[in-house]
Amino acid sequence: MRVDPPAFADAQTLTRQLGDCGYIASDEVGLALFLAYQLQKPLLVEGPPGVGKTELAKAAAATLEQPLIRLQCYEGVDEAKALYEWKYGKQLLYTQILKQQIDQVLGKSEGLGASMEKLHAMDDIFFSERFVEPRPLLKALQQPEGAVLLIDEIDKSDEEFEALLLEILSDYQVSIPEIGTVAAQQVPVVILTSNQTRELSDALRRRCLHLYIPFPGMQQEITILRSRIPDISSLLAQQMAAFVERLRQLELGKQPAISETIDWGRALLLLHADSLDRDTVLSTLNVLLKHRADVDDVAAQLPQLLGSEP
Amino acid sequence: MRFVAALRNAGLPVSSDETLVAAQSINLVGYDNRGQLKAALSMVLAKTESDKQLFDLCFERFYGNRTAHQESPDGSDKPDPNQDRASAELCPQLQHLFNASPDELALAVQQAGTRAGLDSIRLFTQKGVFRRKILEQLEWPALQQMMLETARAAPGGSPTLSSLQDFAARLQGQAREHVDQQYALLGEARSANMRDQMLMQTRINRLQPRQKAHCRQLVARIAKNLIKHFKRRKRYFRRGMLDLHASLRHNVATDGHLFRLYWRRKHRDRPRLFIVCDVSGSVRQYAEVMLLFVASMQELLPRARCYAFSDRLEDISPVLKVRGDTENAIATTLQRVGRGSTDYGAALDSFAELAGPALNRNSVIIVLGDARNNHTDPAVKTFQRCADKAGRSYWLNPEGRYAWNSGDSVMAQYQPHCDAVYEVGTLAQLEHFCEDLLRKTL
Repeated sequence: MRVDPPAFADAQTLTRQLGDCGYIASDEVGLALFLAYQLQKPLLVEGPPGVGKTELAKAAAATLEQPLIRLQCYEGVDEAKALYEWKYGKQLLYTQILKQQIDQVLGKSEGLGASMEKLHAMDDIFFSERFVEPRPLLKALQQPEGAVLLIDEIDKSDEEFEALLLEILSDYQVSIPEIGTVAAQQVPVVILTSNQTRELSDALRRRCLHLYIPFPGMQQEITILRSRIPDISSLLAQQMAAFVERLRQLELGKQPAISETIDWGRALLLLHADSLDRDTVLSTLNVLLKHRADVDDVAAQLPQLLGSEP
Repeated sequence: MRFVAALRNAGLPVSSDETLVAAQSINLVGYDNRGQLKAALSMVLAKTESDKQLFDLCFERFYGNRTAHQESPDGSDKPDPNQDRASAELCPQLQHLFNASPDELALAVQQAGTRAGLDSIRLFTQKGVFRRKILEQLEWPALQQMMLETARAAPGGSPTLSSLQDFAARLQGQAREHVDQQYALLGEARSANMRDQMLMQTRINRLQPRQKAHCRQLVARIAKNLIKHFKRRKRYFRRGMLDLHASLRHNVATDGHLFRLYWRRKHRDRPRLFIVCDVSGSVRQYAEVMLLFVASMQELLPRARCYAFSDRLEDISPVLKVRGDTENAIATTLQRVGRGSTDYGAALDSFAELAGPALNRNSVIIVLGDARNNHTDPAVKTFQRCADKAGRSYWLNPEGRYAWNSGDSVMAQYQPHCDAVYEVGTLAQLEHFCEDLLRKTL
């Protein structure tokens, strides 16, 4: 029987607990994690890049005090990289070392049939759990204390890989043909993230809870800034949040994410800036914006963007 | 759960497993906090952004009304002598309703609605019928009779009469509200389905301007389905013969014993579409929809080129790559090109000149036009040459087959050189053609 950690008693407590771990969550995010944990369902998190989808998994692991196991998806990721692999080298080495033993064992037996029988018996030794190299998915199932399994950027993987995930996500088990089915010792908390570069299949969506994290509101961004950069002055945090908020209204090639705002804050702190003025912003814009065209656009509109500051 | 039924009606694919999970999550979250309940249900039931918007709408419609009632101050507590007198004369059921709080009244109307079969509402024209049926369930005729008698007894009007009238109005209002709400939940989606089917069958040039937006959504949806279907299909054909080189190379570790086999992959080039559209007045609307379709399928057919002509031919391929308002871009381009009178001969000649060198057996030529040539030279020889060079060629004619070859239409001359000829007058026919095309070429 599983004992719920106190943080997971209800959604509000969880949200607060996440905050203590340095992740400022909206109520919705806390609720989603709470439901995912209680219902033992994977949580699919979508949203623009840099809103803290991956951070959520890290904070969840910290709150639960469980290890975080991460599988980074990419094009061509397959069973051998995600699930398990046979330790081929070890198998080879063992057969070489044990060659003499094998000779002895086989030497005494008479006839082809008897040797075959003995070989069959040995076959199972070499395809046992000792020779399985667990990859993230299998590793997450094997944790006796449970784990937080993060399957990052699932949209980067191929469609076939999604199908492979279905067994794990719905039943928390893996079938290895030579060994059998490995069931989870403790159901892990599974968090999948996606940047929506391609549509995920309905089968996958159906098995998950779905959470969409948008860019944060201004107040929330200020809170995040102050929690991540404790030395920042409240005036600067406020100005920065307002400025970034206005930037996100513009049509940019890439919108500034929270992580970039935080980087920008750190950069400003290094430059000993107490408030935003035209020159500081101009010289640090490249921290916030990652396209040449965007920087030029914003630089041209800078007076308007800064002008209406309170 | 009627809420799930309403969601399915609105087009959200909710599985029974998800319904179970939804019930569990309600158990966890409870009914107390409305915002939290909504967020939880939205996570469990709506799995994409567009689904979430639909969900929000349904949720507000379904649960919105009830909270409104709870918040409204309950003014019927004060006893009013006139009301008492009025209620004393009513039959028991009406008496009960008369003294009911707004919430109880709403509940009674809801139950009457279920008895009257309101769940099957489909069209907005049915609203009146259902309103009457609900009122009949609630002893409406008796109430009217009563009002008539009271009015006759005191021709100058009496407090009893006015409170009765007041009650009748309340009852009517409640019934109307309930029917409207149920129609919005259940009927609207159903009649939208019906409208979709009608649109699919309507000839494209008869579409009203106000139906255009809807038609565009429909095109996008059909394209999305086709993409989904054919993306999967492609992979079946891939495996070819045993690749001995690769197999040996990869099995060096096992002393060249072939533990793992590698196969050659058959490489199938994607087809390259060359779309030639007649965009003179009579065919332009068809061309617009056709190009919209091709633009929506960029994912499958990324290298399509398209040409538009009336009296002269122009390469308008860039228009397919326009992000955002593709429809407008297509419309303006076609309008610009489509001013002259049709000349198929000249158009085909310049097509052969522009695209001729690029044609090979991977190319697919699609001509969209009514083949009405204003009695000029049809340049059949040029068309034949292009069609021979290309792997496939199709002719789409928006006119009904009965009209082909009548008047100045020269369909019969082109037909022998095409792999197939389609009549593409409606969206349904266009979808049929696209499915055929993808099946044969991908």
